[in-house]
Amino acid sequence: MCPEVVTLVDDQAASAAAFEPVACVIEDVVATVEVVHPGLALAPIAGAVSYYGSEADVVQRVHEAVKEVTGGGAHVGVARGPFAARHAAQNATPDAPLLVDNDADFLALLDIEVVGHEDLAATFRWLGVATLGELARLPRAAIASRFGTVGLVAHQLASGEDRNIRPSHLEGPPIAEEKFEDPITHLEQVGFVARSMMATLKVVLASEGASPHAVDIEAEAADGTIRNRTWRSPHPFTADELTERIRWQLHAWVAKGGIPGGLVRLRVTPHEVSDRGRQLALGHDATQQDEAHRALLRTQAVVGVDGVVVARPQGGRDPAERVSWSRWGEQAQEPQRDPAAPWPGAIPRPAPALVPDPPPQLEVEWDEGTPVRIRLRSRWVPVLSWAGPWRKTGKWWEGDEPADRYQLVTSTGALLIATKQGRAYVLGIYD
Amino acid sequence: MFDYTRTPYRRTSLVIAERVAVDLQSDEPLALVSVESFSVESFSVENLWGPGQLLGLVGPPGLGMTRVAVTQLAAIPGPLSWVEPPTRASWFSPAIGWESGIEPDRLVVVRSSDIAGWAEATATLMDGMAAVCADVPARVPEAMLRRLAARARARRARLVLRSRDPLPTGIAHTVITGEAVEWVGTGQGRGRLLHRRLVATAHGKGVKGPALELGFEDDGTNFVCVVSGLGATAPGRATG
Repeated sequence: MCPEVVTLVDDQAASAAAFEPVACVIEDVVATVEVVHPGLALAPIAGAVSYYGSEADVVQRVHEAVKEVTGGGAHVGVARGPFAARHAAQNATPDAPLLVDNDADFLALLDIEVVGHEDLAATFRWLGVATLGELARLPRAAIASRFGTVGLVAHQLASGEDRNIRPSHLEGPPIAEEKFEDPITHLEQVGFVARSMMATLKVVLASEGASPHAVDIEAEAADGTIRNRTWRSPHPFTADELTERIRWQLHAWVAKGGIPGGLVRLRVTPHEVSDRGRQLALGHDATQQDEAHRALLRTQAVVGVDGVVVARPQGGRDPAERVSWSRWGEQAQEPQRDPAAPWPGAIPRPAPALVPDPPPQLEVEWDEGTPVRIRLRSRWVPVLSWAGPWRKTGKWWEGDEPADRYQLVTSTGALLIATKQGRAYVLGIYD
Repeated sequence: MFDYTRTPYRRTSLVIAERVAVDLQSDEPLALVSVESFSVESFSVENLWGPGQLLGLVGPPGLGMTRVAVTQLAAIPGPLSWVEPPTRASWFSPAIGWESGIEPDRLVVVRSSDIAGWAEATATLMDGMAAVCADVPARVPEAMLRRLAARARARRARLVLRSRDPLPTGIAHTVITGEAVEWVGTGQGRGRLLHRRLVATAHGKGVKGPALELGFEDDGTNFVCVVSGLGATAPGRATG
């Protein structure tokens, strides 16, 4: 037991805010920076190399600039494509950037697991293909025939062919832009507006079967300051992912004081639009999903973003602990507790249908440790049968009192209660 | 961990027969008739409600009507929504949806702060969700419920109203009212809740003829309806 251990929730918006200064200092050296996720940025350096003289000079400047902000330097890799550059950075050290001369030669030595698809990597390994080099030597047509698009993309990456976006033939990617007469000063409002804009944008793109791999986010503050940042994804962005990126980016700018007076204009320009958006899963009803999406957006306008929520299972001993709530439309947080863990002392199935929050107090009459009757509003109801107790020690290191949980059956139904310090509380109603 | 892959519903008479056989081996006071006399029907959406029709589920908490609502939603493919009443007294737990076979991504829960917001959210959701279950708040105006029913008809939406109090007459295609519940599995400090039998009555246009007596067998995952003939004890009794 390590009671002093503190579990921190993965907060991508906060991470984006922390990473924003790093992106800014790289931008001072290299004109364009594309953020893949907080902690990873790509920067095309051809122009900077012409300006500064050599790749080594550019890398040195980037390295020093980042070190000034973070104090710890950065892992910097240089290669022709983003995939190779990313792995070059992973193989670099803060003191020794890695400049790759030949992407294919560098990638050939990497383990097959870097294709990023666990099942595919396991299959390749089972077939005796352990490195990207061995994969690249196999006939592409055979890989595509056997493994489909996923295998084809893996083979292209292994061969050093990156940014292989199949362009969609659009007249010009649509641009989503909103202007606000009253400057928006709350991030929640921005998140809502962004979600609505991105849903509309995705509908327009989806009608062409297209999806963007990169987006420019541009925000104008009330004082005229204009900020922009490019976000990139190895796979086509979904509407939810685009909304997340906008929220993270604005959170980062706000945290840096970069939108003085509030937001008066938001513009999102998709780039590198591919036709992968046309691919739908078998049985996937895109029309119904779009209708549901729009209905939920409108519902958020009625009840607020906090009023539309989705749940994920997580581990726990009480019914309330086993549910992890998050706002609909936002990236669900990873469960804090593993639902697959055994959780000794957990209340067995079936789950109660109603879980009061917070648990209300309940009057229970006991006779030598046996619950005899409970009070429901103004009347006392006899307990017909009961089970338990299931003991829960609680977080004793945080001062939690131990609790005993009981299932009580009455003529009006069954309850799950907890007793703690001589008092009983309703944890659930089996409705 | 819950097993989401198990599909509730598609039960056969064989399953019922197995369960009855198990019950007969226990020492519970069940007045069961022979297995052959059971009229087992899949209590499906096709039977009692469909697009544009409203299903009313009436009964105080504890009689299992929330569970009936969830099993109805689980049978419908596509995105689903549960609208909470504007109180914080008792939140719907999606865990029973997961146990019933609803994938977590399919179910969105909506919480409102007032009755007007509850009604507007329910009406809005009917435009896009495959099915909506709205937990009816206390003292909701009758006109509001009638407007929701009219909207469901106009939009050909599937709407379930789960209500503690009786619903106004004529708004629901079918109304199922919980009458009694009997839990099995608990004793005097031993065992645990295993499964329950619910007794309910159904009436309305969806029921051909007079009110129909329904019995439900429910262990959290499997949920079957036995129409007229379940050997449940009389209302007011519960055995463990």
